[in-house]
Amino acid sequence: MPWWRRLLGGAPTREVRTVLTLRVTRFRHLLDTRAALDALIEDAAEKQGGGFVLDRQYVVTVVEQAGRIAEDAVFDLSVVTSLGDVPLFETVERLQGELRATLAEGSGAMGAEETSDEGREPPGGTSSVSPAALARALAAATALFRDGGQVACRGVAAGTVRNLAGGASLADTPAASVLVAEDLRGDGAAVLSTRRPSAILLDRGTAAGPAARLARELRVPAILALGDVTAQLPDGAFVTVDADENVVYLGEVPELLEYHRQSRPGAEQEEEPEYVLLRAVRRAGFPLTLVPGRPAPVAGCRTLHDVVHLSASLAGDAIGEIVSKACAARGVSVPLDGGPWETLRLIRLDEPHGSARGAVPPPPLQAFLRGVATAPAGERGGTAPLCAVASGGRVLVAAPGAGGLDLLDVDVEGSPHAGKVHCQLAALGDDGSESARGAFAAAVLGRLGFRVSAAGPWVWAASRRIPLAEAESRALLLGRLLARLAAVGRRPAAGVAADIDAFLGEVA
Amino acid sequence: MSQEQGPLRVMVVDDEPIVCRRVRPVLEKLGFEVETFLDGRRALERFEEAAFDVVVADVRMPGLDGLALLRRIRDRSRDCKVILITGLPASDVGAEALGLGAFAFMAKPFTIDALRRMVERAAAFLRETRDGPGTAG
Repeated sequence: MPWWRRLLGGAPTREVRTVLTLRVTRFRHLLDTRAALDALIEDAAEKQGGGFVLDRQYVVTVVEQAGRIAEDAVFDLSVVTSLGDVPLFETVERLQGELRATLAEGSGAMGAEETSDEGREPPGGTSSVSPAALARALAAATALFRDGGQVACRGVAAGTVRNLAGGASLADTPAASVLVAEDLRGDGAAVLSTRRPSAILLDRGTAAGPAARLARELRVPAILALGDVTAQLPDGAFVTVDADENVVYLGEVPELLEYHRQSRPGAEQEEEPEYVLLRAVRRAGFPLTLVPGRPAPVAGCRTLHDVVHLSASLAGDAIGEIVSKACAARGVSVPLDGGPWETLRLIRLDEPHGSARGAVPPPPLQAFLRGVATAPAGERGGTAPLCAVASGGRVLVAAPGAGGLDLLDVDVEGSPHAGKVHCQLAALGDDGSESARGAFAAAVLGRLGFRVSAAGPWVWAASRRIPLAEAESRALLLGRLLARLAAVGRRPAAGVAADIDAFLGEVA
Repeated sequence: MSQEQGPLRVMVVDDEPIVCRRVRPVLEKLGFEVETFLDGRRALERFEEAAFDVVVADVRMPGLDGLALLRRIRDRSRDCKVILITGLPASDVGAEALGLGAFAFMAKPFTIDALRRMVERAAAFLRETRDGPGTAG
């Protein structure tokens, strides 16, 4: 018998509160664990670009941390559900073993490289350009950008700018030019492999994005996220790109080009083994391979990221049911004015049972309810009530709809910039089919600045380390979004783009 | 003190070749003369042959580790600025390094820019000490 059934059978109120607090706290820990993995994945992608000095120990640490995070997630899931999920634990062990094997294989190759270095000094050519001459030349050169972007692929190169911002086609880019654009999609690889640019400079892009992957695949020095490089560098300008140090110089700096050519012969063709190893580890452990819109079986987990995502999803299912049942049996009923739900069932863990304040939603929940009340009349989420468990500035909401249960967790406690908002939204439509719901939610949340991922039957979004007032504002936005999703869930996926723009216009 | 005039001399010591390969060009672009070593004992032998202004050394190395190297350097030179780097998360190592007279302690991975700024700060400190206040730049 699940633990909550025993509690609903008449256990003392204090026990209900204690167990609810424990389960909710553990679920929140799982949300933080999930965010820790996202941060680790982003960090590793950033390091892959080459703007950092890293060593083999960093890669080892990444593998260890990813494994610990996955273990934590499965443990949290077990606590939330009261079930020891042995198959998922075994999956983590298997995937950790595979990652360690990848690490050992790569480290073996690196060890071979080191033993060949009989002189015990690192390999590397000697440049005819003295450090003093090099420093003088760089000091005299005009640096257009210095540390303003994000290095996606290291190297030094020079060339004539081909700026695509004016509408020029990627296919017309001359080989060996410095490609300047707002952003690049991954499908540019086929074109650029035959017209290899000498360097790539972009306004936007991230270390984990398609443009960064493209640059690394082509081994082209690249600096992304420069902000306004398309405005600063017209077609035909000549620049020297030092993507080893995140600098773009106007004109040619021959001393730098010569220094780079002589000090690292063949550097353009090879990648340092630590970066090869890091890439292998990231490929083995980090992709999210679960299919969006479909329930994920444990056997479908191919990466540690899959395991963490599935654990969070299953724990979300469980905590949603726990909160709904506990609130239905023991919550205080609060009538709602407008929106898809008629009633809120509230349990305030920080107020004595039966106190007057026990029926007063705390500020983040009030903000959410103001957002919910914006739903058009007649849009009902279902007959079940909205449920919430609150304590101080923290609130966990379970919002039942015809298509599934949506979860929202808001934290406006602690230091001024410790605000957090997490949500898990059902991606499927009211009838369980693929509808506009998931696409709408993912697009809106992404454009509102949430970190979003979609896999399995859920859309996940998080916004962390934000000012407390902003967390409350985001709770209100999510209230509006959930209210709107009650209507969107009935539509087919096609043609949702206009709805997204309209909604964002309303909440702007 | 290696030289009253001319470029400062920097020694980089790390048993991970990638660190030496990455750090050398960063410092040479600043005009420093750089020598790199994969082994603490070799580095110490070289330090006894020729003076260096700044030493960038890993904490964890087989043989002579970074803290031991720092002690030996301190026995020979009060002037040389030693920057210790490590991929280990133990914060007490940083405190020990600073207690032994390290100029700075940096955790790997670090950005190229962070290293550049740290070595430039050490160089400015040295120039000011040698030439008097107001001459660093």
